Amino acid sequence: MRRIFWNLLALGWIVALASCGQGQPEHVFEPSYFDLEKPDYFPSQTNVPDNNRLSSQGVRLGRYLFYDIRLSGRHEGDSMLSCASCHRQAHSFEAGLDNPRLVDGRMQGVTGALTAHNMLPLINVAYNTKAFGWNGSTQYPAENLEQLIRKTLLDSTEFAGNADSIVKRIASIPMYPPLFEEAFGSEIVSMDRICFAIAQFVRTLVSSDSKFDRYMRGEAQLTAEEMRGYVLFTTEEGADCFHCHGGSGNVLFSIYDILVNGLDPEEFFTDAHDRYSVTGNVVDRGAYRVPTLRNIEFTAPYMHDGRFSTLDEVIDQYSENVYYSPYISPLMHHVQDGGVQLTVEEKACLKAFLLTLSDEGFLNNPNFSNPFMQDTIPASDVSAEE
Amino acid sequence: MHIRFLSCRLLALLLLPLALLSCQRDPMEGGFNFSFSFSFEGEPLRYDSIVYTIASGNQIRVSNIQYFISDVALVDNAGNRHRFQDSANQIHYIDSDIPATLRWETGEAFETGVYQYIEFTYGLDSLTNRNYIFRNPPESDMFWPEALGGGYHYMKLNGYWRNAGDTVADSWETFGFHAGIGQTWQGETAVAFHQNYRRLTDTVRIFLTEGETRELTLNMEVAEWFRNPHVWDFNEFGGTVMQNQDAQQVIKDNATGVFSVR
Repeated sequence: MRRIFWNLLALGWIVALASCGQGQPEHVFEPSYFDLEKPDYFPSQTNVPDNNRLSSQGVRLGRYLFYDIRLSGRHEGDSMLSCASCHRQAHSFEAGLDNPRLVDGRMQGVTGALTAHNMLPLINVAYNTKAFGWNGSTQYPAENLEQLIRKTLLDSTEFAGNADSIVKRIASIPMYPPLFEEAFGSEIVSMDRICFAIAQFVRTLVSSDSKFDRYMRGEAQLTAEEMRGYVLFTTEEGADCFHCHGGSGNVLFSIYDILVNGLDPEEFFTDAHDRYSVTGNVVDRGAYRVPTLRNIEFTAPYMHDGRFSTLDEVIDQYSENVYYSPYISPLMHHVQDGGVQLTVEEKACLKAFLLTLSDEGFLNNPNFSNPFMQDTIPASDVSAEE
Repeated sequence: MHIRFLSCRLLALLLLPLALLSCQRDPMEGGFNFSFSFSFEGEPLRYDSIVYTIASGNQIRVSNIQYFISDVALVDNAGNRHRFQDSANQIHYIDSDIPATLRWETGEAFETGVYQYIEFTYGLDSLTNRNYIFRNPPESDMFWPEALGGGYHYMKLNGYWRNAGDTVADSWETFGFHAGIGQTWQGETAVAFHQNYRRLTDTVRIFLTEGETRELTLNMEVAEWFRNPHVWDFNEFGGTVMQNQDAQQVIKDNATGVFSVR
C-alpha cells in the first residue's frame, strides 16, 4: 500500500512539472522599467500612468516611431509624416521658423491643411498634470498623453491618419514586430501600443540643465543683468510674469492653466478653437494654455497663432500692448496701463533672464535624436526622417 | 497528553481578552473632518458673474480663491492644546477651483470630551514658510518670490474691481488680493521682511463623543476682508499688493473676522 502511494506521488510530480514546462514562453517578457531622472527641485508628480510605465524597450520603440515618416500610414513621399517632421529637437521639439511646414504661424499637416494653432514644445511634458494643447481639449487626468497622441495621428489637420492603415503600415515593416515584442511582450502592433510607446519616449524629453538649473543647484551664478531680469520676472511691480510662468518655486515655468492673456481685444476673439470651444463657458473666450518658457529662445514662432517671430516682440506685447476684455485673467495686472510698461533697460534684463532658461544639452542630447541616423537596424528596414 | 491539552486551552483563554482588546479602537477617541466654504454677506459666494459691493463702495467680481491653513489645534476646557499629529496634516491647501481641496478628512484622533475652541494659522508661520517645501502643483504654484521674502502666498484672492458709478464695460480692473511676507523697501531693495500670517481662533464649543467623527465647516466670509477693522479701497491700494506692506498689514488685521467654524 505504501509503495503504491509513493509511486502515485512520484507520478503526480512528473505530471505537474511537465505541465508547468508546457506553459512557459520561449522568451520571458521582462521590460526594464525606470523612473525619470530629474533634479530634486523638480516635481515628484508626473503624468506617467500605471499601465504605461517607462521602460527602456518602450522608449526605444517610441523613439523609432516618433522619427518614422511611415507613421502616417501612407506610402507616397509627399504624404508621409513623422512627429519629428514638426517637432524638431533643435527647436526644443517645436517647429522652428525655418520649418517648411510652417505657414502663417501654423503647421501644414499631411494633407496640406493647417493646424488650428501654432505648436507647443515637447519639453518636460511628463510633469504636465493639467491640460494638453492650447485649448486644453485633452484634459488630465481624464485623458493623458497617450490619448493626445492618438488624436494627433487621426486629426485631419495633422496626420489625417486612419487607425487600420497606420497599424498595417507599421506592422509591415520588419524591424517593428520584434521591437513591439520587447516593449509589450508580443509582436502585436496596435494603435494603443503605438501611442503608448510614443508617449513613453516623449515623457523622457526632460530639460533640467539650463543655466537657471545650474543656478538652482548652486553650480552657476546669474550675471547682474540676468538677476535683475529674474527679479523683474518675479515681481508684480516688475514684469509680473511669475504668477503664470513660475520661477524657482515652479521650475516648469508654466502653471499649465488656460487663461485670457490680453493678446487681443474682445472683437478679435474669432478663433473657433479657443478654450470656449471646449467648455462652452463664455469666460473662456480667447483663453489659451500657458506655455512653458523653458528653451523659449529656440521655440519661435510664439503665441497660440504664431504671430510673433522674436522674443522681443513677445516682451513688447506684455509691456505695452495688453488689451482689456471682460474675462481677461485677473492674474494679468496693469491691464488699464496697457501692460507692465518696462523700460528699454528692463526689457534687456528680462530677456537676459529668459535666455538662462536655454538648455543646449537638451537640444543635443543623443538619446532624443533620430535613431535611424545612428542605429544598428538593418538598412532595408530603415526609413530615416527627411 | 491531557495536561498538554489543558494548558493549550488555558493559554487560549488567557490570550482571548488580549486579542479582543487589540482589535478594538480606543473607546475614548473621536475625530474631525473639515469642509471649506466661501460666502459674501452670508450667502454662498458665486464666482465671476456676480457683482458684489464692498464696504468702500467698490464693486468686485471674484474669480477664485486659494489659501493655506496650518497648525490646527483644539483647545480643551483646561486650556490644553491638542494639535494635529500627522505631519501631512500640518498644512492644508484650499482652492475654490479644485473641489477635492474643499474637503479634508484628517484621520486625526482626539480624546472625547468638550473643546472650547479651535485654533489655526491662516497662512504659514515663519518657521513653516520656507522655500521649496512644495514641489508639486497646485501648492507649488503658490510660491512667493525670494526677492519678496520667499516661501508661499498665504492667500490669492483674484478678481476684478471698479468704482460704484462705473458702468462702462471696460472699466473693470483686475486685482490680485495676494497675502504673504511683506517688505520694507529702500529704493529697489527690500531691507526687511514682515510676517503677515495670523493665528486665529473660533470659539465654537465642540462636544466630541466616543467613536464620533465630527464634521466641521470652515467658512471664509469674503466681505470681511474689505471692512473690518479697516475699510479697503481699491483706489488706494490698486490691484497689486505683494510689494505693499501697508496693504499686507490691512489684510492681516482684517483676517480677524473672516473665518468662522460651523
